[in-house]
Amino acid sequence: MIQPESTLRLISDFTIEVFGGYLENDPSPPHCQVSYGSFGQVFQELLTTPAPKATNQDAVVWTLPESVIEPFGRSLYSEETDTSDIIDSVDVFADALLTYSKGVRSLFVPTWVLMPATRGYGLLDWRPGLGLSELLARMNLQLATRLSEAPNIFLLDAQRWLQPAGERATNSKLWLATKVPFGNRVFQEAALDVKAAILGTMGKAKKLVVTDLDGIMWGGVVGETGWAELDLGGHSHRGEAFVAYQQMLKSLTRRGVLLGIVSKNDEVVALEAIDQHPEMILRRSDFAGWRINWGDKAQNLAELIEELNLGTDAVVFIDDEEIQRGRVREALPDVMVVDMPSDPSTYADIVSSLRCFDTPSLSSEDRRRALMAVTERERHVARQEVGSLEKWLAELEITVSAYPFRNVDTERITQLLNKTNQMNLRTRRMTESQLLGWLKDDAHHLWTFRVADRFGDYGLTGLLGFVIKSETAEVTDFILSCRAMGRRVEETMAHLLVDRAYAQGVKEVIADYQPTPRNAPCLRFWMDSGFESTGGHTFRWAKANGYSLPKEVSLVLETT
Amino acid sequence: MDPAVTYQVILEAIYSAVDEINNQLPTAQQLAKQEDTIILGEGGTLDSLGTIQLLVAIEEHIATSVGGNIDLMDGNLLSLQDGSLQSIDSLTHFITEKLFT
Repeated sequence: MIQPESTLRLISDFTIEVFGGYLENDPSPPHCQVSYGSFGQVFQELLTTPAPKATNQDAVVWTLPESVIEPFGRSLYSEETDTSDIIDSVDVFADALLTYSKGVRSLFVPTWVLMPATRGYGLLDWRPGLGLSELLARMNLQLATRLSEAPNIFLLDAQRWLQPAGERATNSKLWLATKVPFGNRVFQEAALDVKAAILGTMGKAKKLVVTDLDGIMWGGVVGETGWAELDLGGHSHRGEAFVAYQQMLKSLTRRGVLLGIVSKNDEVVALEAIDQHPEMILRRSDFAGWRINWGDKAQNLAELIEELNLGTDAVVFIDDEEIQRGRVREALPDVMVVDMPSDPSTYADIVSSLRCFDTPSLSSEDRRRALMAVTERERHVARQEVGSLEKWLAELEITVSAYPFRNVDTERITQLLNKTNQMNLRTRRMTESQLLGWLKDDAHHLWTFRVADRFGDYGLTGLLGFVIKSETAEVTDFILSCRAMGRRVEETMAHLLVDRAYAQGVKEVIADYQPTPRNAPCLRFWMDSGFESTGGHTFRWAKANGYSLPKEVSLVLETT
Repeated sequence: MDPAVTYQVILEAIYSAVDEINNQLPTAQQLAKQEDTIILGEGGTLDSLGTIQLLVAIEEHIATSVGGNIDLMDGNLLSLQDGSLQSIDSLTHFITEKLFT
């Protein structure tokens, strides 16, 4: 039996079993196991349900505004109501959601919508203090503001689910007979959004988009026409469509998504187009890497993914040729391959509508990730020029700054805990709330590491957690972002671990590796680290003189 | 329109509705797209919610495919007195007669 990645509690004031059916039946990940709160017992469920014990317990609370906000229900029938009373009721509902959220991994709350047939006050419907549309917008904004107090509550835009359903978004007969307020397509769209959201909270959002060039980034074949004759921008709708596609990809880079190119072309010719064409939105510096040659695209894609230290399941592949898409699907089944039509008019919309990039947080580091990838490419080039690994490491001039836990880093720490796979000792996943709760114990210690070299700043990329039990320190978290791996930062973290543990009176440090399908690099590090292997996957350091700091690294120990 | 063709058009609309409903049903409750599949009555797999969902979906698909409006939520139909809702075949005949005779 497949273990569910999410045990999902559905709480509603309408018949929600249809939605549950779509969640369970949809074959795409994550696998959800659904349970239902009692019909119409929303507040009772939110305020009296004890905290669940499953670490994969999520919930959806989907309500109709007139049910949980009583004065709004009267407004729907043109009764005069006091907006402040309504906003107070929203606050009461928000308080209940905030209480409930403490007991789940993630809580998803669809926004309130007006049924399409509700015309309200017509041309006055957006008049403050009168119209229903304006009132509902205020209610949703108040809900959004209040729910942002908890990092594990996410408001989902339900209006987006009604649009694809068109006339079938609602059916009065269905509502009257069964108390199902929406058509099947609405629930289907909702299920896909909730699943994407759960994947995002599990750290499984896609991280890299790899795009083709000819026919996707521009019209025409650059190798045949030269860059000046490409269909890009200008006053043609096709040229503008390609520009719009590039703008959408650029937009993704500002959300922390990396870009790559795999194209059958002459590299010099293709890069010249990227560098020179005046209508190009994307330039060479926007790409974390590329494979532009006449080789097999699947092979090139696999090499590019490995170069960028990512897994194939973190990648989206975009190509206008069905044969190439089929080749990649066959060779790299974990890569998400997007079906693109021959008409470029919809390319931007297709990219914009992809759910696979949904993440539960967006930090300033995320926004700089594309730039970091470019500097990483420069490091890679320097590495090839230098030849010797030791010489390259020395020339990098690596500085590691180590900090004890700081509140300001909570969001980034939570992101590292939940998204890092390869260099991760125990793959301990925690929400922000769970992390802060863990830190309340004085025996629990957490250190973060910021890494920089002469090319630039890698950001906060390392995390070390350990628990002191008498004279033993047990490592709970040994995490390093893949972009900082292999530069002696791991050894630096081990040095600090032993140093800080010994400073607490500890006489031995134990690291117990928990294997996953992705963290073999972590085991390799510990096996080569000099720590004693005591059997199984347990490593121990008990030498009196500490663990050496690598000579290639400057360590700055911050106290605050 | 040729009655055979009409029947087929209605049948395809019903099958489209069945596909739609099956997407939300547990495997054990999903309907087979066969004319002798039981909708309502002994041998049927749908619960009350599923039955009404199916009937509403059929109404919508009929409206889209042939432009006709039909009400399948009539009390007599649902109470099985008529027998028209017993199987996909009987329902197809019922709708065809209602819309085209």
